[in-house]
Amino acid sequence: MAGTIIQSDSLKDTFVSRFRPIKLNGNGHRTPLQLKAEKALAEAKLPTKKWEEWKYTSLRNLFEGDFTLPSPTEQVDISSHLIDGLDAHIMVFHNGVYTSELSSLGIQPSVFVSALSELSTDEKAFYKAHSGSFLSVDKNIFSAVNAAYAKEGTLIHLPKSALVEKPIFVLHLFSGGSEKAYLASQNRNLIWVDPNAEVHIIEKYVNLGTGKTLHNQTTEIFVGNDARCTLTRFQEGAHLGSTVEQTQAHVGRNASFTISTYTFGGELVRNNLEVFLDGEHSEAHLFGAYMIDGFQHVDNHTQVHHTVPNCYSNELYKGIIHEKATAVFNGRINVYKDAQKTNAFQSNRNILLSPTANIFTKPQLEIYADDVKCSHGATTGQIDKDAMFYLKARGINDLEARMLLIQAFIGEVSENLSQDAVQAYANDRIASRFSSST
Amino acid sequence: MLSIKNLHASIEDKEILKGFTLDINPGEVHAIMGPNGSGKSTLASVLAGKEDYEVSAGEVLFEGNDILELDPHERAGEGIFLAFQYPVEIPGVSMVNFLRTSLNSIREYRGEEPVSAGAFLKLMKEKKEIVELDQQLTKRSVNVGFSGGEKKRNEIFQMAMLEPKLAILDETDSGLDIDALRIVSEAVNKLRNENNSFLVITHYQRLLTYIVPDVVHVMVDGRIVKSGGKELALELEEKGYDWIKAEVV
Repeated sequence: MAGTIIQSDSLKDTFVSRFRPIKLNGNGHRTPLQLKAEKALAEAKLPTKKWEEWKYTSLRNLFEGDFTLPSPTEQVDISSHLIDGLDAHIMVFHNGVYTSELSSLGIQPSVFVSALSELSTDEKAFYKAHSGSFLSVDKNIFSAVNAAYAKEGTLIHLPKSALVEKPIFVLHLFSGGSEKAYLASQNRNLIWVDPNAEVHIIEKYVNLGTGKTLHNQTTEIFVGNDARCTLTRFQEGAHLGSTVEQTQAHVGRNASFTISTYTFGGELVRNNLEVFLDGEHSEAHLFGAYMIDGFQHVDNHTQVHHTVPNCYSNELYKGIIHEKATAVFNGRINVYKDAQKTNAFQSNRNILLSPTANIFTKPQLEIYADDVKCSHGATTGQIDKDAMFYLKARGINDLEARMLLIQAFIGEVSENLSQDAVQAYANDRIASRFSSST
Repeated sequence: MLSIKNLHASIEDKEILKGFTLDINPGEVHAIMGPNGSGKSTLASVLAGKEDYEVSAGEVLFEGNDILELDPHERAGEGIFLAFQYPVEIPGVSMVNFLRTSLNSIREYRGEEPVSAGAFLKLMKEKKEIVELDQQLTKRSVNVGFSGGEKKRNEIFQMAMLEPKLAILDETDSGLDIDALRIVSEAVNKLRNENNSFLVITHYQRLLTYIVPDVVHVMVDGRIVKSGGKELALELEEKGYDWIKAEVV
């Protein structure tokens, strides 16, 4: 039944222990942030569906599930998980652990791109000084446990006016676990783009299909004045991979931040995304697409904060939900009191392919300024019958007609991808996602 | 080519076609005229296979084969084309992708090889000229941002691309200005030959001065009540439909 988790300390302790390293350094080596997070963790409770923030997303499977440990010898082959035609710096993580022999970097030394496990002295100093700047450790149990125990992740720092010409491709592969027991991992990422610098990051998360995995990740992003940051995520958890992702970005004056989140599957995916437009004339573009079936569950919670005047934000999330899958969209635009001349737009559109599919969508606007242009809206429908008949009357069979309309629907999101190879990859995945199941 | 016998069809339990019978031979152009609500567009939809309609009696033979059991895409594969009265806008599906998928689907149905990208573009350029379609329009999504007249011309353009054996033009003339009407008619006349047939559904005689039909039928209340030569269309234009209704009753 919904919301009936027994809040025993033992359930929480067991869950937290999934993420606690076996050898925990003594207090002397714990950073102030980690100590603060441990305190928060002691206070934190396991969320239930009675909590407004988790109303439609049950975490019971995660909290009551069995867990297992990784097998240290397992090898993975990345070749089939790269993106065709994408010339990029590559970082590979397997079950959250950086695999340097599969990675290829080679970026100019002034730019920091490194796994946390391989930080140089300078990088370590930078990371320590900046990690935890934005995401509060007591936000929820996931952020607390992440800040307290995550040791691995990615640091990307571009100094002023730096440019990494090739995109950075971060590939996360998950395997191990079993049909019944999860394998847990967590990463903590910091992306710091100093003024006038530019970077494009592509992340792909793949569950290799051998068993259940749970990845708990936080990502803090700073986009300095006049800087540009583009982050494109592909979440491909199939029916076994679960993810709790919390991303918080702060965007400075004249800067631009674009994030695209494609979810092609996952047992349970929860994306918390918060973007703060902190400098005037900054802009944020939030694109999302989800295509799920079976019993998959994807929950996107987004917040855009217009804290200063003259900023622009545009958010477009579209989803196709099939069989007994469930999607949740909760998007909020906050326009602060002084944020005059704000332009903020948000749209969430969904297609249900079957009567048992579920969508819970809640667009919200909170405006405290009086001279703004804002709009938001949500729609849910089926495949357009008239369009289907039109295509079929032109000789196109039922399956192919449906594919065309699905691609067209999600294509409004993917057309915003600036890299040709990445767009081609996205369109390919969109085209093939339901090609056998509808 | 097409033989319809005693066709009865209904939508939501309301019978629209009430014993419709019609024979069209290869090379012939037939016009169906009739007052609003007589069932002309229903006939077009039923022939194309729209699922909203239920056929309760009668048969439709196309080149001797019963097509009522066929899906819409199979009917298209057999060579039936419907020029829609209200062409549907499909955002996100480009004209080029749509037409190429359509053409190759029909070719596949007939056991033919798909056309190459180069041959397809050449064919498209050639056929676009027939309907004087703006070059830019084929770069857009299907029917999106097209004017009413452009949508109708786009239907005829698709017909030219697919070269059907039987083309059903469902009120293609309605809402067309005189220039567009002339372009559409000339395109039909260019495509007309001894092997293909046309069923032109219209409310007005005007179109039939450009596309000269072999036979004109008058449809009232779900069936044909009078057939004649092209002069019948003129007579209808002059006298309206009331005298026929009176004659039938």
